[in-house]
Amino acid sequence: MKHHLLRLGIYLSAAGLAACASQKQASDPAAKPSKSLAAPLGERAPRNAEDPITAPAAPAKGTVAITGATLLLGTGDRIEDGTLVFTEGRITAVGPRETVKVPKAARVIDAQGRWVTPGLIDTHSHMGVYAVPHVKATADGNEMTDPTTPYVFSEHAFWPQDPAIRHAVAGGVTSIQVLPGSGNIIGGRATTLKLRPQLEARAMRFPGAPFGLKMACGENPKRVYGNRKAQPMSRMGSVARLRAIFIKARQYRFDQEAFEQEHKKWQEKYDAYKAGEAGAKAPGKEPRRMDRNLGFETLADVMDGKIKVHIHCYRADEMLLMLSLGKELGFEISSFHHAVEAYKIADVLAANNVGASMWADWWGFKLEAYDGVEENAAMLAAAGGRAIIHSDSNIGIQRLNQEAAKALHSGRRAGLALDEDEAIKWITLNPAWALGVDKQTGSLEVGKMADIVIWDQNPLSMYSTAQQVFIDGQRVVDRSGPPHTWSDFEVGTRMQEVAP
Amino acid sequence: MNALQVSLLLAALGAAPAQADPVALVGGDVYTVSGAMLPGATVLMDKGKILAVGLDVAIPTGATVLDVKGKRVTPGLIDVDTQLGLVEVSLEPSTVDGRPRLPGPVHAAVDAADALNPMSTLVGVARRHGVTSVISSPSGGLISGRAAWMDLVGPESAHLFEAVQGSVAMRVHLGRGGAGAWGGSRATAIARLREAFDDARTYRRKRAAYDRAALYDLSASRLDLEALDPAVRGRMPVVVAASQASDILAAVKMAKDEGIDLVILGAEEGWLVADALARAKIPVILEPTMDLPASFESRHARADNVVLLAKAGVQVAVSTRSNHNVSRLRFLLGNAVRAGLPPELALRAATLAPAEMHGMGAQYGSIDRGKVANVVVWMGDLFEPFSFAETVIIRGEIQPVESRQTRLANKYIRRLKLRSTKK
Repeated sequence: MKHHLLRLGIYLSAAGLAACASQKQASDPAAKPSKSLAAPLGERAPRNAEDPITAPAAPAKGTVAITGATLLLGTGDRIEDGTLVFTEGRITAVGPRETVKVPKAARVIDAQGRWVTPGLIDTHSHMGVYAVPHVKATADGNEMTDPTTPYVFSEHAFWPQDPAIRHAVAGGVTSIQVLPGSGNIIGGRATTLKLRPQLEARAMRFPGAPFGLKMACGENPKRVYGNRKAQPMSRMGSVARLRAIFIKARQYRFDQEAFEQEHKKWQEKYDAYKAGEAGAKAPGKEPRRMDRNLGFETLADVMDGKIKVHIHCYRADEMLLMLSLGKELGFEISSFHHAVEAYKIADVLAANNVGASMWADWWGFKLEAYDGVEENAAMLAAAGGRAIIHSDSNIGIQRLNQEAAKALHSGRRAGLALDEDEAIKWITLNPAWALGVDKQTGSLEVGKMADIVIWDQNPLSMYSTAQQVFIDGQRVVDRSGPPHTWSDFEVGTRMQEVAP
Repeated sequence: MNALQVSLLLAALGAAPAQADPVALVGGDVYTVSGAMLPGATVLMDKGKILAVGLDVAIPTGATVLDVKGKRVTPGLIDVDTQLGLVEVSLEPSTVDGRPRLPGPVHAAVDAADALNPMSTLVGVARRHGVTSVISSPSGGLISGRAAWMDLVGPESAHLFEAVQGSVAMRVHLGRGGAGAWGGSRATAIARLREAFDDARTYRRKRAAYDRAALYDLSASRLDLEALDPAVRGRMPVVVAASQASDILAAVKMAKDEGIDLVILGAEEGWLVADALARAKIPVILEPTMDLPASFESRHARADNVVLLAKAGVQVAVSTRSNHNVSRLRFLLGNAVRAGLPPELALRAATLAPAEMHGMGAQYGSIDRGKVANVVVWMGDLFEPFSFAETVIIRGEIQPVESRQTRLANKYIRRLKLRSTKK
């Protein structure tokens, strides 16, 4: 209990930084209060338990220059025989070798014949919330007790010791969005993490990344609840529940705003009275604060555009319906996930600037996936849309580069005019955009985080392997050494016994 | 007798050919698998069989001749752990025949061949990526039943309903799968399995007493015991799913005691017992990208498992262990190569190796005279995503390399006019 209070104290002191202006005024020693009054409840509780107890990983010290590589920039362009420099975790120079001056202090990595990409980004991972080994005790990704759970946070279940994480990083993945599962219509908040394992999820948060909201349409919620003879047991029920909770959340937001205005008036009276201003009357009873509602807070942030919406949605007609519902209920969709029918509405998705996160070739495991085609991502890209390759799998995440290659070449075989640099975007800049972190990562551009992969050959080859992976300039994979078995679960296994 | 003589002889006998013309692939780099790669060679096929392979093959008049110079010619790929044709949409029970619901743990009498649908939409998707045969197996129970071999001919094929051969293997689950099917322990599962095998032998030896009802109760039904007979005599391979090293060793011991022809399926921890498998000459079917400790049975899973097994001398077959993603087989082979498996062993792992371990090596798995004419012509390295299967020949017939899925894509490519779109 004592420990618990200590933590609370840390949260409150952190929240104090954001305390409202009127309080600062009230605590100003120059403004001597002349009247004695009970302090207002004033300070709002911190919104969420977001702040880590332990320190996040710091960017790497020093300067590194990677020279002579083919730089696949993630922007749709490339530089042959290029040089890339990063310092203190940020990219400081990118260009053809002859145009980039390598600083004297730099550690130089000769990458002649090698290929460099931005760190890969997966918009759809359940690592940590469905950690391996898959046993009852590690199944933490679906709060299937209520079809709308906007109040749960995937990061509260994320187990940073998941042994799958190091395999994803070895595949060149540097950032992931960890989502709740799709059993619920609204599954909860998703968090974007950088894959430098720490002792807690909060210390792995991508700095400045917005939360995501996981939603799901189609078969999963109606199967989960329908099997219990509960709502929703049909797509109709799902949509009705979705509308109902957003309508309530909107009312909550109106009520909240009304309260804030009322409280502001009261605070002004209070401050004037306390400061002993002439003619100031006693402020009366402080207006009663509304109870916090974590679910409505999430949805209010969604309606304010502070949280990115990611909807698990397979069928074209349902994606169109979700676009309509978004307009009615006041949310914008960042990307559809598992969008196996994105190709049918590629023009609409492109026109609405909505991304689609897709597999290269998964299909048919349920009816809403029966029309899945290998050309899906390529068709969306050819229509000018935001194609993204995601994994939804701790096996698939290890080879996003191969998945992009398969999706690209399926499209080319079907006659679509697409190049390799477009396919690299599907696993770098486009997912960064969908997660709202494209100003910070996703491409090899000056000022961005030094999230970088050095491949032994073209990453769109099946034989390509990530030789070195950097996150914030820190080298987290070096293929020349033994695998870094970070997870406590792997202690005592015989993984390093046979050198391959 | 050369190829021409064979065809002349067949013509003289008036044999009605399934396909009007023989097919000749001329000038390709022929990866026979059974022997060395033959650059610039010709493969001649007729009446469903390979008639001749070599640099010097006379092509009969009337043959369909394909110039495949500079292209790779391989045996058709074989995926041996699937439910292709048993499952259309995994989560729709009305389309699933792969998991019978039966009382008791012994389902030996179930034969996948009786349920297989060769017109499944999954067939075209797999074939387009060069898979020409699969083994489909029932699942569930301790003894799941018998697997069937299916050649993935197209719906227009003259061989459509001949392309299935039942009873090519008996399927068994050990480890947690077996424990879950009977008694809740690995020990109960093995005991029950031994009892079933023993009863199958008793049934054969004391058939008369059984028929007079003068025999103690046997642990399985008459049909199950009959179905187990070839398995306990070592005449039908028994494919045992086992992941954990100790379960693999338990299966090896049981196979020795019972005299069965064992194949291990899964084998995520196989590398830990690779030498024991090699000594006992037990082959393994595995999915090479299963490198996570996905369960407590596979704590020691690793990406180079396939390499370590092959190095120890174990015969390995690679399988997608999937239904809708059988198309990925060639990419799994690419990943096995990436992990260190020599490319020729990778190709063997999806051709001759799986055929041999199912007793089908005399008919399938290599480009040799007399074998079933399942042959694929590849544009480029088949393990790479930029390559593709240009021509797929199954039972001597040139097959469509399209599927319901490619038709869907093309429908919308036309509708959205995507081919003219500039990036």
